[in-house]
Amino acid sequence: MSGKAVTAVILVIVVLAGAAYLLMPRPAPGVQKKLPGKIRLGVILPLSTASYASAGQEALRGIKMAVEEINSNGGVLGKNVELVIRDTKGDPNTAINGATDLITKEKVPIIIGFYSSTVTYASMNAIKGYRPLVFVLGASSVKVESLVGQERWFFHMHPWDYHRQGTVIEFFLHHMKETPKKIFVAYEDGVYGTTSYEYFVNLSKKENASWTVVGESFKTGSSDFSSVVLKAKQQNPDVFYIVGYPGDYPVFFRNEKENNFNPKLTFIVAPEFPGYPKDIGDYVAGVDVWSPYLSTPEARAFVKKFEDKFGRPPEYWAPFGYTATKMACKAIENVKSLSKENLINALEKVQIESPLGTVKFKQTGKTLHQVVDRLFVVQWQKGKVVILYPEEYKSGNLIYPVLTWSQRGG
Amino acid sequence: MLNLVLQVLLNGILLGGFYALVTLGLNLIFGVMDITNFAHGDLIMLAAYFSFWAAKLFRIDPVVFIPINAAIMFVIGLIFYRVALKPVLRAPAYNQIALTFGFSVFLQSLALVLWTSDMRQVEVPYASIVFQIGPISVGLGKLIAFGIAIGFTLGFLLFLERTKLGGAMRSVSQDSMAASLMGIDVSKVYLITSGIASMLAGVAGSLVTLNLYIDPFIGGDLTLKAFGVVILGGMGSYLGMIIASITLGLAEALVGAFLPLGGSLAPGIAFAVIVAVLAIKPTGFFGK
Repeated sequence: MSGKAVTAVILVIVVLAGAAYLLMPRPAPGVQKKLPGKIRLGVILPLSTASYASAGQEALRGIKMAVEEINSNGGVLGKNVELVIRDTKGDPNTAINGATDLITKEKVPIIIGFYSSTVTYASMNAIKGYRPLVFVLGASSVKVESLVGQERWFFHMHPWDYHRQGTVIEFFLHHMKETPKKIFVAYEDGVYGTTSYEYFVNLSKKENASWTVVGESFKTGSSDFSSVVLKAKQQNPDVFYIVGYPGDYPVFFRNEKENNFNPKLTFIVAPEFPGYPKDIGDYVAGVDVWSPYLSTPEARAFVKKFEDKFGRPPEYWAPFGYTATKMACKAIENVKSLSKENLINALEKVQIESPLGTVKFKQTGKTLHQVVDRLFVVQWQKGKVVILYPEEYKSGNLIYPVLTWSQRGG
Repeated sequence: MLNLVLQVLLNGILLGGFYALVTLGLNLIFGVMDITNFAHGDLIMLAAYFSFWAAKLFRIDPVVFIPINAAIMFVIGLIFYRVALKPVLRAPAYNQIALTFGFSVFLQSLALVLWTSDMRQVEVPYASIVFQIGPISVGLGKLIAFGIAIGFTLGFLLFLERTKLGGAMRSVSQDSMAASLMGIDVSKVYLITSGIASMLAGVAGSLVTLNLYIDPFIGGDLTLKAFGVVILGGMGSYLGMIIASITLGLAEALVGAFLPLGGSLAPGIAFAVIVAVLAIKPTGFFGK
């Protein structure tokens, strides 16, 4: 066959293919493609082999509770919701593989999950080329915000560092009877702890806070923090502020007692993690993104249901997972579509009543879509949590200075 | 300043005592069978869960539960030998490493499936009681753990020195072929050694619940520490192991308390001490 004939054949094929494409039946504008038999949601969390798998498991419990509720009420658009779950193992490469798999192979319309800033940063960096619709539950480091906060496909639940440290400084400055003079910050030496410490120092300067800040890093997961506690004791601070992970705090409390360290207040992040020993955890205050002691009907109902199911109050990752799943399903219900652009538009408008309160996405800092930007300050008092801040949720006053170890007995 | 130094030294010694008990089982298996058991920390984790559930379900105090836990773990050690260690006794070292490492991952996964990754702790009020001795203070929980750890370590060394079985274990650790020719049932010694090493992990597991939160992954860190101690003390040497445990505990405590950012540096510096000692004496303190 001559060159001209080949060219002619190719041209005919192209023309026919083009004509077929143009003549293909397609939905009129506003009418959506047929939905699949099930609504499949992607979930990616650290579920094993990581020190923070407990948070991932807790978020998954919340997500599953939401799915059970939705399915028992007829599903979304009459279809059951199904989860496609991937475990990050707390490892960036595993997370990237899992997320890529959810996007390219499983083709889920939305991915809910992610926990640590380090893993989320690596994952977002790797998958941003796909522009996937993601609803990130965790990651408080502004490094993540700088990377993807302005992307329309990025939706974020957890407050950023500056929300948390801003709340802490606001509380120390304006909601304590006596402003602390010296604050010792013990921070874990990963991205989360280091960034938190930097924010605390910088925002303290910005707010012209009069206190002196002394910092000391530590390795999360250690079996003993006596050395850090003894360093803090030498500094004699008013507030001992620990930025670590849930497993670190009881070790710190015990080491404080063993080394007879008596700051006027021990302050931590996420103090409402279930199971802190009451004898050494009492009087500890801290900043939290949610409290199971909130009195709103949605919070009470969620806590009761969770307690009935798991025999203990939920940690905040559970309502995070629960609320994110409900918001995603509500958006699908509203727009009757799984296409990315439609779903983004629907998510931007979605608003629901949840255990976290009335939630919707709003623009904050450098983030287009942020859910939680307000935090709580609470204190354990005789084995119960008292909400100290914000004022509208306040259920008691801060005990400050707290009793010394010898005054508490034992 | 002197008070601070005394307090730091005491904290380091208490930590070192616990490291000695954690290391004992690993050292025993290595000394007698010439196998590095990377699952040793995970056996401690398993025992810690047994202790937790005994306290949670039957209100048995972790210290009271020690003999029961030790007995359960002894049986698990026997099964571990029959199922896993025996087939690789004569296999190349990397096969043995792969096997014990695989067993470690299996135990972690099993714990994760059975008990989830929730962090758990036994609440024993006395663990938080603190004694003030002049300018320094010490927690009862740590004191109990230290006392039991040292008691078991010394008791075990006496057992090795004074009993027929202990003598057989020492003989096999020196030369299994010669021991066999002398009429010692080497296979039986191996079996009992695995049981005792696991039993010691049982004791350590009970003590872990007095002072630490437990989750399925605490074993990795314990194995790493124990491995460091065994190397530093000289593989198979019990005197070296005790000195290395205290050295590691003191190094962590001193670095943590006196160097800037010591809290982060301590684990790394402790292993730097190991590197430094090995650079001078490649076989460790008392290794041959």
